Amino acid sequence: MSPAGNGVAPATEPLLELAGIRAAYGGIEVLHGVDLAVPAGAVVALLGANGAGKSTTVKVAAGLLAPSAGAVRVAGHDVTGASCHDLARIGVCTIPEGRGVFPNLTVRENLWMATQVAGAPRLDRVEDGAYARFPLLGERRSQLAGSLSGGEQQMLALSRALVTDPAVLVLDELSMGLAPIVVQQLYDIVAQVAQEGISILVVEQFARAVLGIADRAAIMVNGVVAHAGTPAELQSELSSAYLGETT
Amino acid sequence: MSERVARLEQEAANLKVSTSAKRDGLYQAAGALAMVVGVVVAFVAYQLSLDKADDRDIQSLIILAVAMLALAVAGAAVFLRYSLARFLRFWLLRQLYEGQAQVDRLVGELRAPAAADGEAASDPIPTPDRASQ
Repeated sequence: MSPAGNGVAPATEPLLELAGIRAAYGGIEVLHGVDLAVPAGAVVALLGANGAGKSTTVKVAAGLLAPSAGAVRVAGHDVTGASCHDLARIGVCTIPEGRGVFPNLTVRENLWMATQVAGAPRLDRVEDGAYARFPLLGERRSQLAGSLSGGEQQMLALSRALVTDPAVLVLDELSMGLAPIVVQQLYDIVAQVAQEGISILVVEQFARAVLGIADRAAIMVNGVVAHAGTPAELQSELSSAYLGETT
Repeated sequence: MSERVARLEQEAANLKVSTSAKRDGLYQAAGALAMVVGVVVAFVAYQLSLDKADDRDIQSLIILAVAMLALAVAGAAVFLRYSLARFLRFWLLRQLYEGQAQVDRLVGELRAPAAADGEAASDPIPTPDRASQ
């Protein structure tokens, strides 16, 4: 459980807030007014069945898709329409669905890429931090990222995301294509990251692993947030079969 | 409030939301418009100049035609600049995607024989060390 979940008072303004977000692909609207808030220091899980609109919500939050209506706010400031790299620069970092690494670069080169932004620390410091957090990456620093296992690639993606010391981390389907034991390991690491005070929005189709570390959860159905609350409050809704697994 | 959150708040307050995609589209449309208008007006001015008897009228129309041709060239340059930017972004994304797909294929090929030999327990993939290449 993150610091917020351990009683640390959250800031008054959510660090990341989506208010009445509507978004469409061409003429097809897939988000019909999504309201979601990520308080400071909290881990928020966004759950829902395949096609519920979770990844589209992440795209809007990450600046990859401009909403047709509604507002995206960061620390109370309206950043609707800001680009992905602008949001990453101010401290809202996204790890996209799938593998967020350069497959034909080595682990070390992937980390080097993350240092090529203003204000990023030097590569040796980045490497020290990444290998301390993920010793396995240190053993494979000269290996091509594409030849790492799925879990190791996600570790590398996490390491890269943490280079700029973001305030908000958005994780999209971290568990995609991974064995349950690897997923559990990754979420243990995410819990450690949350303990450092980084606010996290986790999007997941499979609820079980992420709810163990979440302070709050929201369930999306057909492009809207149908339920929101603490994981305990959402137990009855979570039991529904639409989550993709029975709990 | 932690230092990290304070920094985020400061950065978010200072963020100037860029609408570069919309701006690119506007420049692209303006370039195309300038290109078309330039060519059409230049052609019309030249045709009109053919019917004039007074040298000063002819010169004025020819100057207008040349200026419109310059506008058309500038419009073409603006159009190409902003349409190429969009095209190159997609090209870069495609390169990344194809690179990833190629590595996936290579890894699949490397894993397949090793798995068939019952060596799946150990890591069958040789470590490609770029430094040694």
